[in-house]
Amino acid sequence: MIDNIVIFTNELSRYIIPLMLVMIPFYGLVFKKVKVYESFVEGAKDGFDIAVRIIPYLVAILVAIGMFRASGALEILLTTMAPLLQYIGFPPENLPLALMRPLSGSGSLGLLTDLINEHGPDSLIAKIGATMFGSTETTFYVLAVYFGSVGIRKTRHALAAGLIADLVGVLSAVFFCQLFFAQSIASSIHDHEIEVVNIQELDPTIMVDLRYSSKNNFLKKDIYGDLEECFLRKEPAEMLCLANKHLKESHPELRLLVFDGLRTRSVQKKLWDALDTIPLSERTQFVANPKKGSIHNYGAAVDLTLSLENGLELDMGTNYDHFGELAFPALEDSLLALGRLTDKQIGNRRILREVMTKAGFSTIDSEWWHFDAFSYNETKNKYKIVE
Amino acid sequence: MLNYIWFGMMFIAVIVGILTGNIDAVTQAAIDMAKTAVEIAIGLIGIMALWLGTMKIAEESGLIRIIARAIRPITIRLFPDVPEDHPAIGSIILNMAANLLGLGNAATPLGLKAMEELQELNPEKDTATNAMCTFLAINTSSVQLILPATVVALMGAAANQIFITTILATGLSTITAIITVRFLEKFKRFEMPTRNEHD
Repeated sequence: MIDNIVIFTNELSRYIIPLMLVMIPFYGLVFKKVKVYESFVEGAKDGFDIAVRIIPYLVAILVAIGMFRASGALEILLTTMAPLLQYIGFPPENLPLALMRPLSGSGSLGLLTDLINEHGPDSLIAKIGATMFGSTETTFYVLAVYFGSVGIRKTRHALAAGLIADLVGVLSAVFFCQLFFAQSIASSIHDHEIEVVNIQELDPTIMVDLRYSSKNNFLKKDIYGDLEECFLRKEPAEMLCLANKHLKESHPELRLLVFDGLRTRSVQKKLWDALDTIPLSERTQFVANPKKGSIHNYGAAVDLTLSLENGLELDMGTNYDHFGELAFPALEDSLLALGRLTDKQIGNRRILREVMTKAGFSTIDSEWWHFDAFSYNETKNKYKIVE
Repeated sequence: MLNYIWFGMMFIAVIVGILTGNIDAVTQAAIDMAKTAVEIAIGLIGIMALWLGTMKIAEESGLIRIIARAIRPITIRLFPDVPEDHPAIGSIILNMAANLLGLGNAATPLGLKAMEELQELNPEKDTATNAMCTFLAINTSSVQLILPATVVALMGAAANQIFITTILATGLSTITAIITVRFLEKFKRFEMPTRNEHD
């Protein structure tokens, strides 16, 4: 029902402007014999005057706002107000947006974009933010433009009323979202701090070779720098230990060799940008879009292979991060038939897959080395993305 | 009030800028924003001309008077000081309709047209009338039935879920705006100044 209303109204809005532009002259020309072209030009002349008239007012308002933002005063205001707002149940993540909204349209749009990217569109924080954005206006800008256009300098109670309305809009956005999406509150509060574990502390027999911490990766660059340990969230890490246990039982001569676990979104962005030769639509097969976030970014996915005790990797048919169909588990049967993969290589992959899926991990179609502890949606509800 | 807020923001910015060492950024922001303000205004010219031209046709063909009369019961309560067949009412209605439908580009020129017409009724040309304040407050509380296109683009499929919350929140803020202006306009400090020496 609501879906239909949304589709209908959004659909309708596409036609309103062209229809108005056509129907108004139509009515005038056909029913009232108005000289539509001449009166259009006559009216349009005012456009220039009004636009020029608002310039001094806009300069005054925008300069003050710009200075206030650039000085860092806005941030200080936010940090001092955060504890107070938390006390009344106002999510601190949404505070910058609430304060920015009356001041700057582009500034608040930027903040909203950040919120949605960081928390995902399904999160309560993003929903509150989007509702706030939609239910308030850039009061200072509107005031400057509207009053400026007719030369009003004494604004009387307009600003006070506008700001009080904004306050009510912001508070009711929080209130209604919490009322309607109470379910997601639990999941967003669930994990506020990032709790990760070093998998080698949990099970020293798992071998780790962080490829992005060396030049041995497709970027040929050391992205992680000093980081040599591999981290995962607690539950996925425990699942990995379980997989290691299964491996020891079935193939005591083999070891799990981990290439990557928790990967911050900033690294994700570098990987994404490094592959900019691949069109966007195909790129997601190899690297998750950092905007959406990979399960790696939540610390719930792991890249790994099998090796012998001396560190020698088993032949899996391709290297780690081979971006191409040869690495696709989904195509193994046909690649075998074409002779591009051998029985042995596919057999090695199967051993890896068997112990991992037995421990609860799931595979993906395009990378033999990648395993997810949970589905994307489950991960997003459980954990927060690590920047 | 705007005097204090405007000065306060710049004053605090300079003090904080000096204390935090961001003073260069403050200088740069002041210069950049002055430029941005002009760019915004210049960018408005074309779209303003388009809508004001169309509005002129609507006006000359009597369309605006028809719309204004149809919705008189509401506007007479919101803007008791504006004569019921004044062209300002027509522009106000069209501005609100554009806002409701999320047509920000159309709403601004129509709103400015309304302001111009309200100004005709204003005895003190540099001071906002009650009707102007009411009109502005309604505009800043963002009445709308349609989610802004940017929000839909950013939220994707989740946009449908916030449709109801947005309508409720924006409805409450608009009602608040209307009640607040009615309340504040009676305050002594916001009183309309009595006419004095300048005509």
